[in-house]
Amino acid sequence: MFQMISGWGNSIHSHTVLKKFENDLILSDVVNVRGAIPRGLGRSYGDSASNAGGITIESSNSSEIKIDVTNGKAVVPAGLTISELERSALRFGFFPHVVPGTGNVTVGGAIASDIHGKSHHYSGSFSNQVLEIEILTADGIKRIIHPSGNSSKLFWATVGGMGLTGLILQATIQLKKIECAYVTTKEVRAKNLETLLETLIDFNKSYLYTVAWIDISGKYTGRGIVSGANHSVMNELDKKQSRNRFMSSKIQTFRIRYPFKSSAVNRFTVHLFNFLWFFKPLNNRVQSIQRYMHPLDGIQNWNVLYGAGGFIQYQFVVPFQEEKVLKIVIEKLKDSKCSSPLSVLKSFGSESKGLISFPMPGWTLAIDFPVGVPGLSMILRELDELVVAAGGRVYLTKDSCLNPKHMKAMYPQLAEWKNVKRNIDPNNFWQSDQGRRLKLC
Amino acid sequence: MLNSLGEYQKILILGGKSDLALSLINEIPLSEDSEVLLAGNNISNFKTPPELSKLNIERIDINFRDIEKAKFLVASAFDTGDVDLVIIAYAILGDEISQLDPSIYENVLHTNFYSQALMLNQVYNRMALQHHGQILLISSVAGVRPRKRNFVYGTSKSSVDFLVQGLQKLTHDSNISLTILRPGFVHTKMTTGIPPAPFATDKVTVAKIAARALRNKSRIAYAPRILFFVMPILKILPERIFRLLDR
Repeated sequence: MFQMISGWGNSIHSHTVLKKFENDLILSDVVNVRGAIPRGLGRSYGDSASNAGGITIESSNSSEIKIDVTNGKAVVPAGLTISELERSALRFGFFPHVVPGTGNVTVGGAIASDIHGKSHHYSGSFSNQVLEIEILTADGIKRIIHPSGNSSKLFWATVGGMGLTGLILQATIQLKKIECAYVTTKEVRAKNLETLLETLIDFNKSYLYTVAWIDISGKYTGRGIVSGANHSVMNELDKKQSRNRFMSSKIQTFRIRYPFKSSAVNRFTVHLFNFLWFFKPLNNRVQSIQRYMHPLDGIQNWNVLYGAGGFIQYQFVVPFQEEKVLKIVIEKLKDSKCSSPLSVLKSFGSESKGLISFPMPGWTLAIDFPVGVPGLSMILRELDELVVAAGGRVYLTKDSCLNPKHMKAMYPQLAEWKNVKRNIDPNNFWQSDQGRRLKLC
Repeated sequence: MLNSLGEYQKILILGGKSDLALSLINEIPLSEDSEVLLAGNNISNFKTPPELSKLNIERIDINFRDIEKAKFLVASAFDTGDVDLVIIAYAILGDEISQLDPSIYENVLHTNFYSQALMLNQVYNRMALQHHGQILLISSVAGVRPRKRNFVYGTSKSSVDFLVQGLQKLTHDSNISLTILRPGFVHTKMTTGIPPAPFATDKVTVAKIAARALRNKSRIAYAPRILFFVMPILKILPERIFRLLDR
């Protein structure tokens, strides 16, 4: 039975057959000419985890995780969520080196997107902690691949490869030992973009986890709040925290009821929200690491606030020396009267070795736009041109409207990736809506 | 597939020289890389309007009377990537005075109905595999009720119009939308020299109406819009009254 699904942005919908992965799944039995694409929890924003006319294979719900407490290596099924991985790791005094902004993504999805987190300037992207991947390729063979050695080409094509090289079944991840399940956080306000960037650079020297919220509304000064955190040490904890030092916090979640077609996110509400958020009490305390890493996970379905039309998140990275692009982008948004709530700015550290992975050294900015903003198409095209000219790139996991020409310009190792794809999947068994749009398959 | 901005990535126009179809391209959202395939007879040297010069246009020479070759070329268009929109725009008006001339009669019915019906079959089946896409048929109000001067043309238009209405009943399973555009008299190169009928309009107006119909995934759209009210009345008029209007 065909069903309509979409990404987190709700802006592209795809008519596909959803099939749950089972261990005895024989690919040739289930797949038609339109092929198949793996799908985790559907938290990519666009059409990377959907396949119109074909099969979308949902990861299994297996939560069987094996952690070797002597060396911190965890063997995890691809369908395990990051939150579940964190909870299991914390029980033994470990934590992943890299986690994304939401815990509601699967480990398979995290690898396929080569996700990054608040620690990127220090720890790099998710792939840096992945020691081994078991992947089901188009020929039906389950392969074990590693970051070095004979299988390294396929490994680095799979990492950040948006699921187009195969179905990730399992991964071995290196966890790190921590003293407790808490972080000590520090936040400061910055009154404009220049101060924000300087503070972020400063924070990077002292904090393992850093991120900035930037106000793209109002006077468009680029003001914001910089946040930094380090793992807490025992003497920073209060009595209750000390007693439960490895207890993972249960994040209370709730669902929003929003029955309206139009977006609740508009210039007025964004301006109001950003104004209030800028002056919120600063978070300088010891808090649960999971709450700090996944601040929005308390609201299960915040994306519904954008109404029936959905939204587009545009995330790009430009090299550090192209810092001026950030100012130009904010000016363009000001001229177009576009506002964005919860825009996030971060600095990236070393480049990932993934052939079409997103992170590279530089500044990354993520902006949300409700679909239907007047002139949005032209705005995004101009931003693409700016990013290309600056030697930057757009994040495929958030992408829903990039074109093949810009894709080629943004990802210099694309040809090499396509070679690997052609060799491992000559008949384009693994294909997605995004893959077809960007001519990746 | 349309991207999140609603931009068509690939469009196939069967009847690539059609004024209406080319005007419509100007009115729908396209991205920089969008491909526009113009399929038609002797189209290689056809000059597209200047406003379309920035588009990525490919010309496909098709003689729609050579059904097998035409089907093959349409299939090839789909083989090189999903097609988001197919516009069926080719037609022959025929000759008002000698519409019963056997060769003109056969040509009009073959081109406007038989060929289009088979192209529709090919296009629909390929689009059904994609599970996304839109088909726009440029039909005509001439197919609503036969008129003395162009009933052969009207017959061919109403037949394929009827066929598309049938296909529309399948769309909820396939996620494809089919839109029938029924323009009245439109000033184009096809109607040059023909005295205009009442409610005559221009190609840009028709294109805007068609673009809106595509956006809304409408089943039927009339151009100009007032014909939505006029045609049902004309359809049920007693013949002796209609004859007075049909001069």
